[in-house]
Amino acid sequence: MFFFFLLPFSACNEEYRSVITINNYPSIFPDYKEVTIPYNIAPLNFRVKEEAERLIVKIKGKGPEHEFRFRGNKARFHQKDWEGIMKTSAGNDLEITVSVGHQDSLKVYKSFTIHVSEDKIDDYMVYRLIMPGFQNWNQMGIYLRELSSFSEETVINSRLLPGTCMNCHTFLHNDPQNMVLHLRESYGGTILYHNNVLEKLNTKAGKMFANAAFPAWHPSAKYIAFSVNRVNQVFHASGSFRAAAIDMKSDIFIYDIERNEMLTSPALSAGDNFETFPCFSADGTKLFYCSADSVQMPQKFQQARYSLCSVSFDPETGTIGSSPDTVLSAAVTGKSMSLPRVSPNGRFLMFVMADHGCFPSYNPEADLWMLDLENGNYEPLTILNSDNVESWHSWSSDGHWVVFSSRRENGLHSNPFIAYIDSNGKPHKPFLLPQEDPSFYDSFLFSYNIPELIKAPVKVRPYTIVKTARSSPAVQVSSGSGH
Amino acid sequence: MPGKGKYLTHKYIIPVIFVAGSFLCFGLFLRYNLWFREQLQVFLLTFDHLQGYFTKPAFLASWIGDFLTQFFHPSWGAATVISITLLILWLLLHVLVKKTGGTKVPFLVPLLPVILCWAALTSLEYPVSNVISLCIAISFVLVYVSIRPATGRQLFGIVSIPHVYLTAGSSMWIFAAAFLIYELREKRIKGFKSLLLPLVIVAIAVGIPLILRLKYLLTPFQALTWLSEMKRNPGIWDFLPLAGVIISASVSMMVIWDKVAFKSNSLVSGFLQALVIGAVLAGGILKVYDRDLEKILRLDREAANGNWKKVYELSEEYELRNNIASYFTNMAMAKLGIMPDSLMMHYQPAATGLFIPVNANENYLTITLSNEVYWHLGDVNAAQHSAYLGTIFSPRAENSRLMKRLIEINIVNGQYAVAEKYVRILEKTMFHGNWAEDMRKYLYNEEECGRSEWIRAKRAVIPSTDLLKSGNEYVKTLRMLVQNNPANRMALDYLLCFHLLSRDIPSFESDFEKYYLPGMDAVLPRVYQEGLLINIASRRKTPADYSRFSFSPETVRQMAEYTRLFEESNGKGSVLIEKFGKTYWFYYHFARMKDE
Repeated sequence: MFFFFLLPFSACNEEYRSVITINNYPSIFPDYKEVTIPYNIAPLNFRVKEEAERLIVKIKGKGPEHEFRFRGNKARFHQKDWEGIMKTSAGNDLEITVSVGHQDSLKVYKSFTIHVSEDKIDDYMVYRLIMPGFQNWNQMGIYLRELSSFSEETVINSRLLPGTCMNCHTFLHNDPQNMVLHLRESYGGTILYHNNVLEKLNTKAGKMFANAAFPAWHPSAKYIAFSVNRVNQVFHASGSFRAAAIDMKSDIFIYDIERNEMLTSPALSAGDNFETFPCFSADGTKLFYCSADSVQMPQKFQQARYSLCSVSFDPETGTIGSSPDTVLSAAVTGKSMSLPRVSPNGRFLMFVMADHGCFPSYNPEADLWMLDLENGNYEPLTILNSDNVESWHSWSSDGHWVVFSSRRENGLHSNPFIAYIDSNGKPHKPFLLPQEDPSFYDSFLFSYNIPELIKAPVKVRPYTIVKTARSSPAVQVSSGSGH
Repeated sequence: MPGKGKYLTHKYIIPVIFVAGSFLCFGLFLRYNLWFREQLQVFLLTFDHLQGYFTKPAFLASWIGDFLTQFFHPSWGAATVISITLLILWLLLHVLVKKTGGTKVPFLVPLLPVILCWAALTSLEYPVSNVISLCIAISFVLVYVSIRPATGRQLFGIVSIPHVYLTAGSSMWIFAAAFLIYELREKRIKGFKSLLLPLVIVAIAVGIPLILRLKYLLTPFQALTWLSEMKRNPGIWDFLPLAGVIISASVSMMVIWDKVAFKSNSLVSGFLQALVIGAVLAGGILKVYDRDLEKILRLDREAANGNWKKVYELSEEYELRNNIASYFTNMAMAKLGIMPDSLMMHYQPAATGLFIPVNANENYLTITLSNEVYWHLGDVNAAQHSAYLGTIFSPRAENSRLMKRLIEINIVNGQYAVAEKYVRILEKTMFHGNWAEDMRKYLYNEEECGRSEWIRAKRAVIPSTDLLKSGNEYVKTLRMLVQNNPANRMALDYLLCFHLLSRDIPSFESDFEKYYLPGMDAVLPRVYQEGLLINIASRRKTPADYSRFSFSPETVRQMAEYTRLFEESNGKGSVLIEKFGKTYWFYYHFARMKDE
């Protein structure tokens, strides 16, 4: 509903014949209205979705009001101006008033609020960029973005390792001192950075039918849980669903870094079941994972529903419990659970719920849910979700921020969204990772995969990874107990 | 004034002949190749787009080259751009040679690298930006040799090496070589110092790419040899123009032409030089130019314009034995409704002439073309998959042609947000902007889509039932299309011909029985008759089994004769080829599959 107030010449906007006050929020991209942001985030540059010769943005916080004037329809703040505002605004609201000048009139929109949290977000984000093409790739890379600026660096890319697929970058406690990532095809292997040593592992050991994937660090840094999957990618002949990834077979193994051994147990590698996406509890005594009864694949892939399960783990001895628990049953929810991620304080477990399967990137209905491990309650994170895919979430080191990827913009390209989670686990409205040019996402043809928050830059240089990846042979992991 | 006449010959006649020759060569013999080249990029005149070029060496050459490549879109645009670019290169070299070697240097010297560029440009993968990078490097050399004070000149030389690398990539070697040779020639520095400068030049020339590669993230080899993003693994012909410029500059600087008895302007010398130029040009073009590719790309152009009759006529004229050519021939036959009658009249490399596989082993040329058949068959999602992969494998992961196709596909599928993203990008281009603006009217506007004949037609053949399939599962795709829409004759012909070309008679018969209805044609198409007659000849079926279909008596008679000859000659193909070389029976017996 629009309310128009035609005003005569205004003293502060004297270049406009008329000033129209609109009792609606401006339509802006990215949508930063009523979001909660960390004080160490880069300028929230945006564009108005209408024609404009001039944009006037007033920001009123705790200190004096700031007025910024821009040519065209894009608001691009100077880093220093923005940092100044952020410095004085932590813990407060910012009131933003956007006025759009077009021809001889100025539209003054209803002010909106941005809450600046006192909780800092980890300084960096690591993600993979790949074109959403399915089946094959050509150019891809893992990149590091400084969140307080627009600076981006390459961790590793396919130009340095031609023909190599790179994925599943994972860090312990959001610290790049302990990092693991996978390389496949040309220079395949698992790259492990631990105790300042970078090495390449051949993780296929004992009865493992493939190399390890989807890693999760144990809080002690002594173990990494992996799932081993045989994945088949298929394509939909019609409709808006483009593709699906089918878990044809999967088991879970735990890698003992010191002993260089892969551990497992019948609970995690039962022949008839699928077990995938491991994640340790915050205290390291439990391993969460997703499990489904085996069904005929790919014919009945829509009947594969994964429950959220757990099994005990003794970090002292590396012993895996023999009797798994079902934390959240697919039979109860009627849905399929995947990607469990426990908050750093151990209280919450965020996961993805979809109609079926365990690769939610291909399920438009996939949404983020939260399970309170203290009381067993679980609910959808409605304010984080959209009518398209939400998945691949990652907690910040203090547990107050999550980043996740969402295909909400157009159903094809996934982009990183950041959301604040308060101490009670209540989520706040997420915001899209800001870019220097607010039209960046309009023409960017790559998808952001697996965004992960980290506290410091990745110290290992791309060429060091390349050198390690090319060195042959890789360290062979041996099969330990359970094989 | 004889001297003046010779001067005029050099000054005007050579460039005129050269420009005219290159203009005609590229305009007449590489028209389709160059038109296709433009489609492999999406050039936007925006600051953000420019920023993307700073991530690799030769940013200026690449940016100018890609800017100019846009003009390959209109007719004769490519020929104009290339001939002018070559002329500029020649002029720069001509000035350099004159400045460093004097007027007695044979006209062959500045012309030879240009000829090598001409030959290299006939390759699809040699971009015009490579010529621009040569021009940039020579321009730096010209400025350098114009500086008279030795210290200033040397200082400029040292500072310029990184700049030439940043702007022109490995054409930096031209500048470094010229710098080195020119300073050696000048011999102003004596003793130990005379060695120092060359060492510094070499160290900087080698060191700069190796240092900057850490920023650009290139391997040492890539950094030292960087030409453009167009070709990941450049071959010898990609470097010959660069080597040619170095040799030309060296020759003009090293030889003291005033003391050479060689009369470069004499008739004999001119003739000999012209002969060398002609030989190099002819040899180069013969080596690099792919005439069949030009023909295939012409088929592609006609297909893109919907001129299926022309595609078929050209196929008949070209008679290419190439699976991509067969791909277009088969599509044209299907579109014209003559596929099952004329299938065996043309070269058929089994089923690879029906579909182009989409996988990492194919190159961006073939993957770019691979979506066409799915689009025309009505498998919009498979076309989409192919188009995405074609984009991914394009040099900068951008492809205006496939972006257009993705807009069409996503409009047909009602995925307007995706279509809008591509529309927004193409609207900013110089030559695809109007097309994109025209597409915008369909976004989020079902009414407008309903009025569009092509959207209605595509939506009508979209399968109503979903099916999961892996990539390149052709039979599954075709069966699905026919099951969903029995009137999709192109899909039916492709399905049955796929079986026949795979020599899978049981599958052919099974799908024929299932999907080919009596009365679809007045007389059963020829290749179907020939396929079914194999069943009768092998006594798996009787004529009564096919009594509801109308066979041509002539085909039946020919089958009897083929069988007789085959048996009499103990299956000798040489006996049968003349009379039956274009029958399915001959293909069935004598075609060799790739894995056999």
